[in-house]
Amino acid sequence: MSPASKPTSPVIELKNLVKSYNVRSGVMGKSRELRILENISFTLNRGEILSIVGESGCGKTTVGKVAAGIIKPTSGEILYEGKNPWTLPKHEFTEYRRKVQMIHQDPYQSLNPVQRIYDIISAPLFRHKKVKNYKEAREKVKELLQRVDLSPVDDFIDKNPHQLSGGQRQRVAIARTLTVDPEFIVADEAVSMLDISIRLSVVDLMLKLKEDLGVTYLFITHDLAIAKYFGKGGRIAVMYLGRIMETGPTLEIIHNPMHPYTRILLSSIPEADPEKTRSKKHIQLRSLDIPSLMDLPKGCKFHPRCPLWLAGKCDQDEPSLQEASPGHWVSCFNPQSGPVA
Amino acid sequence: MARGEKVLTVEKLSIDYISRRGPVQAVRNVSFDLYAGENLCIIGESGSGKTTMGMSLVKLSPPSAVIKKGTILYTLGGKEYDVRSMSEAQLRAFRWKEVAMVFQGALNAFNPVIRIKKQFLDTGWAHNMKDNKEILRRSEELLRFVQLDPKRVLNSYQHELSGGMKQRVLIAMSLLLNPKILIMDECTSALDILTQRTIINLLKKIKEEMGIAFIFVSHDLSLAAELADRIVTIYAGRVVEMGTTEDIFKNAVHPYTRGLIKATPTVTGNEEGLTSIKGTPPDLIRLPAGCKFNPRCEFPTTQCYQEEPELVSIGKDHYVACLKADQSRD
Amino acid sequence: MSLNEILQLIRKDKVGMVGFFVLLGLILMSYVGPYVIPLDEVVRVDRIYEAPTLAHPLGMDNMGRDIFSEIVHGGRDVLTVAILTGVLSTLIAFFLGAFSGFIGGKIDTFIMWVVDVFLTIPRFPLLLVLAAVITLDNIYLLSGLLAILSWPPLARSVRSQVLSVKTRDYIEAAKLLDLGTYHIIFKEILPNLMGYVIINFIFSMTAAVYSQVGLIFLGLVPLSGQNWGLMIQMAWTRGAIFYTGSLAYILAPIIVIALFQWAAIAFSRSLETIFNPRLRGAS
Repeated sequence: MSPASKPTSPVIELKNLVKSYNVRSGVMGKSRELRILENISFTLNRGEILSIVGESGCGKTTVGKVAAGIIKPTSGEILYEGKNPWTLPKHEFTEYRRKVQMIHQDPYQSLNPVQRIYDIISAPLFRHKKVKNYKEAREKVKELLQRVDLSPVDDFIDKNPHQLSGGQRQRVAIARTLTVDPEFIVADEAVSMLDISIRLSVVDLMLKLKEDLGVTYLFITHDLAIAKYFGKGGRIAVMYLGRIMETGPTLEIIHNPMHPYTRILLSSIPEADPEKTRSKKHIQLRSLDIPSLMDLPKGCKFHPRCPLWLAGKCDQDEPSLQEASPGHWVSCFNPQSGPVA
Repeated sequence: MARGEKVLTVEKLSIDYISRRGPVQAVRNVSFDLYAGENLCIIGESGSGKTTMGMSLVKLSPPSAVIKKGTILYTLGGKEYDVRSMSEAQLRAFRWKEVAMVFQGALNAFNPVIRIKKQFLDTGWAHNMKDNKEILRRSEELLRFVQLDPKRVLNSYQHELSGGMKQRVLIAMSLLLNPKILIMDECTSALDILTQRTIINLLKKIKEEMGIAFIFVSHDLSLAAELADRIVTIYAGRVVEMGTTEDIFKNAVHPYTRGLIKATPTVTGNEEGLTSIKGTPPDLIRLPAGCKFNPRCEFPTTQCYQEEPELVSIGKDHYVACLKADQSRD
Repeated sequence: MSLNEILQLIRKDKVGMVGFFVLLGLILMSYVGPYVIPLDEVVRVDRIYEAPTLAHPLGMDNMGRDIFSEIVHGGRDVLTVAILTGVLSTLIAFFLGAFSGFIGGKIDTFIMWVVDVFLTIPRFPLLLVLAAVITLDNIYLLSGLLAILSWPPLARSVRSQVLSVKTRDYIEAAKLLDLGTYHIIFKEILPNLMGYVIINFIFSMTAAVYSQVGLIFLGLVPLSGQNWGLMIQMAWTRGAIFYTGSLAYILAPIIVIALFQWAAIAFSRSLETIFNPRLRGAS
């Protein structure tokens, strides 16, 4: 059994997935393999939430794009409802495409600036024959705008994206995904660019859609607090340099982190509570610098920075994910336990 | 905390931007003080005017920003500096030496074709430090202070440094002339958690060991919780609440401040009562009548639509601009 | 967008609006004017270089003919060459550039190689040489030649625009929504390039004006009839610069040409706001 799965119907499965690119340094340089993702495995059941947490460059966005079928994995398997989309005939692949949607990070980039909101939302409706004429399309677009709480709808439907605020744009992007009745949504830092005062309302909207429509989410974020809020009942996978270091139920990861990396992350986050945040015990890293993907260390990829590394062990062998307690998997030779703060 | 002397007085500052659609009222009638050795956090969301305000404190705002009225007065080392009446040459001498700044986007502040060493030297030369050896000795000392390898960094170009390293180099450089005040605008928001932690700890160390006063402009309440002695919340270009960190987090009065705290999830806290503020931040060109927060406020009264509240004292060091200040306190 | 909205947007930018009306005026003058104002072909030896009067607002030329009527009749060929060259070169550039950007790979490399070759050819000297070999005695041939020489820079920038738009998140979203290649090209990407293309059309038009006038001035294009370029050449070769009263004769064609160029470029500013909703400002 792959890490952290339940024996109910899986929507999406990633098995030992690897993504690498060949890069050439300089004109005459030798071509080298840049491994972005190494041996990524997880299973997501219908209606579940998996939050992928990590710092920039850890490969979390690439995992999202592989799951959404935008990037083809180099090796390993991706299964959507038991089938590998990359081996499907074209029409079945497009069907998979439609069932999996994405909410991008930057709502200023994800809506075409030259189109009106009506155009943006009605295009997929016409394309997939959900509406027959202008009148029906208009009605349906209004219904969808209502659904994402953009009301009164007449204030929005004929506007261009630039006339809307970031939060409103993100709602339009969400409404657009709803046109094709998605089953699985990859939300890539979907709220991190929004103003704090309205951020939770967009998260709440996404949660409401999960309740109403049974959507499954892959929630990619660098923000553990948001991951905890959004994925309370779900799971978290912590990534570092293309690998999953630890995965398990959200609250278990927050309250009983086992991997030193997760523990350092949690201890480093400032919190909006002066007493708590000032009394946090900070775990010091051995080194502040993240190794380059072009020049990864031997053994555990975290050992050059890990304060708890075991000489002769962590710098020699690379650990693999082991189940420490039911559903809680960790990839470490020296796992810890107990809360950090 | 024992309070130092007043080093900066901002009084009734108003700044407009000229835009195609009309004047953008980015800063409206803002007053606050800064005391020696204190960390003052200015909290505001995008478009609240906080960046304009931060830049104007050293008169670095773009030409389209017009200071309409108000005073920006520094009292440093027994001398007074009225920023608005200073000439460009005086300002150049004043910046870095008395007040240094690290602004958002400053990660691109380095000249890409010059080694870091030369940029330290340039900064020194521009402020009458003649002795190259002395400049480099001080640079190395500061780089070590920010936990960087001076030899390696000084001989690098900016592209050879990571984001977090560049941020630390900038902080080191800003300290080169021993400023008394450091203004930082969103200086950690583009950084990863672990890098951000390094910078936060570094700033604490600078404050403790060098006694520098900070003005920290950010949208991030958790940074304020960690770093600030006092917090100023601004909304639609105006100070809506000002108080000690404890007052702001425990006894906030303004519905916007309260709303912001409720809208910020934490890792250790529970989710109860967490919720967004309704509506969207205002358009600074077409501000609503009365209190600018009224479209988003939960309990506006008719008075709130007619009258814009003044900032009034409601306790020691605690000021708020809300017509219902008396009722909304716990 | 309705015509009404477009007119409103034109009105927003004052300089652009003036440009628009000057442009409109020059086009009307050149294409409709000749039917209203007859060309003055009567040689009047006694009225050579006569100063401007109410009846002859621009004075008389080296043979005592009305300069104003010559200006009215001299615009059509110049503008036709400009517009034809603009349309042709923009079309070539747009299709090759967009195609190159979309397809990528070997085809892209090849097209860009061709572009590079064209870019290294010095345009004006080549025109000089060609003019000596080919008799450029009709405006369509001239337009074609100018177009062939002027598309490459635009093709290169259209390609880079396509490459940049191609990677935007909204294109990725359109792919995920399975909106189809046709939709992605014509509804998502093209509208984002329109402003850019139209503005470049205007620039290639103005460049064509200078090239043709230059060629005519040097006497390399044996065009007959009335033409602003020919007027300048006449003024030059017939020794007008040696007479004190001939200022209007020399300046008149130069000024209309400059006016046309300025108006075209000023108007392109308005076009920018029309095609780029972000510049319109919230309403």
